Amino acid sequence: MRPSPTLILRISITLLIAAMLGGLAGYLQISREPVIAANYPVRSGNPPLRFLIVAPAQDNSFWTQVYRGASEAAARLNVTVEMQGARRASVEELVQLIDMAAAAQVDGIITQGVEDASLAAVMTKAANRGIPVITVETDITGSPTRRLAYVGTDNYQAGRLAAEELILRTGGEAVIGIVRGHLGPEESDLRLQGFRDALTMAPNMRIVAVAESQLNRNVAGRKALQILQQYPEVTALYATTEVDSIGVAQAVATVTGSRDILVVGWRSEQGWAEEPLSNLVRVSMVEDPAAMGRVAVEVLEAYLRRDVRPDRELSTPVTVKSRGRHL
Amino acid sequence: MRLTTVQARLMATMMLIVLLLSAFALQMFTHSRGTANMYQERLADLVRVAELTQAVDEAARTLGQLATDPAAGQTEARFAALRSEIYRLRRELPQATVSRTGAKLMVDLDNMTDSFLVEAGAAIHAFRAANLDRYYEHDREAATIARYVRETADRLLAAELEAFSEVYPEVLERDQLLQRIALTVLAAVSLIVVVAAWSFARSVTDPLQALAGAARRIAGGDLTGPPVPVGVDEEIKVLGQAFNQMQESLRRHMEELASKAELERRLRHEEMENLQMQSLLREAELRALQSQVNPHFLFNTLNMVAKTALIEGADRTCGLLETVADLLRYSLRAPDRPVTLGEEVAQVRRYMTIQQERFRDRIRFRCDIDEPALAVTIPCLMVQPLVENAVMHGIGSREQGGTVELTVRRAGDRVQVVVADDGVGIPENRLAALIEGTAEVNARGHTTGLGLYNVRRRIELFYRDQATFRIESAPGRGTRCLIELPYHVDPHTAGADHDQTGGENRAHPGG
Repeated sequence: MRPSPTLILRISITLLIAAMLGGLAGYLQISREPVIAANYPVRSGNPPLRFLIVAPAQDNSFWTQVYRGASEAAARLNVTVEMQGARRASVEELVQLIDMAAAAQVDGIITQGVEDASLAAVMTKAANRGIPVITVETDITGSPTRRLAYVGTDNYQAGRLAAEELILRTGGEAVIGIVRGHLGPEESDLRLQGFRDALTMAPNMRIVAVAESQLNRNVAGRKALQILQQYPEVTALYATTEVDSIGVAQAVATVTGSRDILVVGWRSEQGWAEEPLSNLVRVSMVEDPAAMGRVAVEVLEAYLRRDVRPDRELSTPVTVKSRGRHL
Repeated sequence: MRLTTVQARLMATMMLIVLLLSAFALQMFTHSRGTANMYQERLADLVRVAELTQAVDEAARTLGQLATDPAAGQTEARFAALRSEIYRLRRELPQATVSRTGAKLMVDLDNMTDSFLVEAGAAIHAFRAANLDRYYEHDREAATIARYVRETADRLLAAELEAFSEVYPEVLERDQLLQRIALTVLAAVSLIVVVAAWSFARSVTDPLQALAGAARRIAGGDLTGPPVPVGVDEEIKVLGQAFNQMQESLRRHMEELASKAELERRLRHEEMENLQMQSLLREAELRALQSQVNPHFLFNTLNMVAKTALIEGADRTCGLLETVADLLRYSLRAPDRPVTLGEEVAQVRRYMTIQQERFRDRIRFRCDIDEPALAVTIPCLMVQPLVENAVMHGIGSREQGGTVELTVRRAGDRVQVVVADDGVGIPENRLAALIEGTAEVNARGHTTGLGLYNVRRRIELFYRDQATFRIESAPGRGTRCLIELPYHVDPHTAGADHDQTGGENRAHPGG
C-alpha cells in the first residue's frame, strides 16, 4: 500500500523540525566556542602580587629549580611569579631586565647578585620605586646595596668546605684548575674566595688557572679542556656552578683514561641525577635552589603583605657529597 | 487552528519552515556578526597598544626636545597634550588578551607607561626648577622606559599575533564546519520542502483525480461505482462529499425514472388491453345488437308475410311461414334459459318440417318418443343442433337421401336421447376434432351455427359429470349421437311459453 500523503507530510515536518533544530543547536554549540576570544583578563579585581625572577641565563637548570620552588610557594600564597632570563649571560642584560621589571612596576624581583655598579644602581632604583629585590645564589656585597635580603648558600663557607674536601681527597697536594660561571669580577666570587682562602692552609695545593664560563656549559667544557691541555700537571678541577660542573665533567670525560682528574663541582639537589656524567664529579656541593626560590617568595610576600622585614641573609643548607676512593 | 484544510496545513508548514530558517539565518548572521566584531575588537586592541606606544615615543621625543627647543612653553604644552592622550589611551587599553603572555605584558605595558609618566613628570619638574642635571637624568630614564614600552609593546603584539595564528586554523576549520552545517540544513530543508510540496500536491490531486475518474465514469453513464474517497483536506472533503451526494441522488433519480418508465409501460399495456377488450366488447355488443335486431325484424316480417299468405289463400305457405317463425322465435329466446325436452323436441319437429319441405322425399324423419321423458329440463338447443348436423352432414350431401331418427327413452331416473342417421358418417379423426372443437366448419348458411363441440361443452357445463354425450360413427353407415341425462324437472320451465310471448311482445315495437 502506498503511504498516504498525510503520513509523508507528518514525517517530513518532523524531519524538518529535527533537522532544523539539530542544525540550529549544532550551530549554536559550535559558534559559542570562543575562537579568538580575549580569555585572559589583564587585571583581575584584586590582582595578586607579581614577582619576577630575573635569571642570569636562560634554560639554566639551577634557575629553573629556583623558579619551580618559587612557583610552589606562589601558588600557596596567592601571588604570581614569572621568570625572565638573560639571553646571553651578561650583567648588562641582567641590569636591563631588572630595570624593565622596575619600570613595569612588578611587586618584587628575585635575581642573582653580581658585584657590579650598574646592577647596584638598578637595584637602588627599584628600591627607590618601592620594589624589593631578593638576591639568590650569590649576593651583591657592595656597600650601598638596597637589596632586601639574600637567600642562598653561604658561598664563602661553602667554598672553604669544597677546598677542605679537596685537600682531604688529595692529601694536600694538587694542581688545580678552576672554571667559574658567576658573572662579576673574580674578587667578588665568594665560592672562589672561600676556596682560595681554605687552600692557603695547604701549601702544596696550587691554583694554576681560573677560567670564566659565562654560565654556559659548552664554554665551561671548552675552558676546562683548555686548562687541561695548557696545564698537563693539573690533577683537580673546581667548577663553581652546576652548569660549569656539567661542562667540566664532559671535558674530563673526553680526556680521561690517561689522567685521573678529581672534579669538585656544584649541583642542585633536584636536577643532578639526570646528568649522565654526574659520576665524574667526585666531590659535589649540593644546594637546594627550589628551597631558595620558595624562601625568596615567602620573604617577599611576608614583607609586602605583612611588613615582615627579613634577615639580611638567609642561608640555605649546602651538603658536601664525596664519592670514590680517598687517597 | 485545526490542520485539516489545505490552506491551514500549507500555511502552518510554510510558517514553520520560514520560522526555523529565519532562526537559523538569524543565528548565522549573529555568529558572523559576532566573529567580525571579535576580529574588529582584537584589531582595535592591537591598534590601541600601537597608538599608546607611538604616543609614549612621541612624548619621550618631546621631553628630550624641551632643553634644546627655544620655545619651551610650546613644547611643554605639546607634551601636556601627549600626556593626556597617553592617559586616555591607558584607560582604553584592552582589559583582556588572547594570550596569557599578552595579559602579563599588557600589565607591564600599562605600568611602564605609568613609570614613564612619573619619570617624565619628574623631568618636567626638574626643568621648571632649572635643575638641568636632574632633568637630564629623568629625561634619560624616561627615554629608557619609553624604549622598554616599545619593546614590551612589540613583544605584546608578537604574543597576541602568535596566539591569533595558533587559533587561526581552528577558526578556519570551525567556519568550514559551520558552512557545511548550513549547507546541510539548507539541503535538508530543500529536500523536505520538495517532499512536502509533492505530498501536498498528492493530497490535493489524488482526490481530484479520483473525482475526475468518477466524473468521467458518471458521464459515461455508470452510476454504480463506489463513493469517491474524500481524503482529509477540508476543501477536497467538501468537494468529494458533494460529489458523492450528487452521484447518490443522481442514481436515486435514475432509479425513480426507470421504475416510472416501467410503470408507464405497464399502464400503457393495460390500457391497450382495456382498449382491445372494449373494442371486443363493443364488437360483441354490435353482433348482439345485429343478432337481436335482425331476428326480431325477420320474425315480425315472417308473421306479416304469413298473414298475407293466409289472406291470399296460400295455406301451405302460411303454414310454412308460421313454422319458420316459430323456429325463429325459439332461437330468439334467452339462450341461458333452460327448456323442457318437449319444447326442444317440438323445435326439432319444426326444423325437420322445414327441411322436409326443402329436401322432399330425400329425408325421412322418424320419432320414437317416450312421452313422460319430455318433461325433463335441459339447456336449449341441445338436440336440434345434433339433428341439424345429421341433416346437413349425414344426409344433405347424399344423393339418395336418408333417414334421421330421434329416440327419447326414460329408464328410471335417466333419460336417453339418441339422434341417428344413415348418412355418410364421419371419419374417425374428423369426429374427434369435431368433438374437441378444433375442426374447421364451413357450412355457413345452412346451419343455426352451433356444432357438436358446442353441444358437448354445454352439456358438460350444465350437468357437470352427471350426463354423458357420445358419438358413434362409421363412414358410409351413418352417425349416432347419444345423450344420457339425469331425470330432472325444473318447475320454472312450466312458464316458458309465457316468457316466450313476452319476448315476442317486446319484439313487436322494434318490428
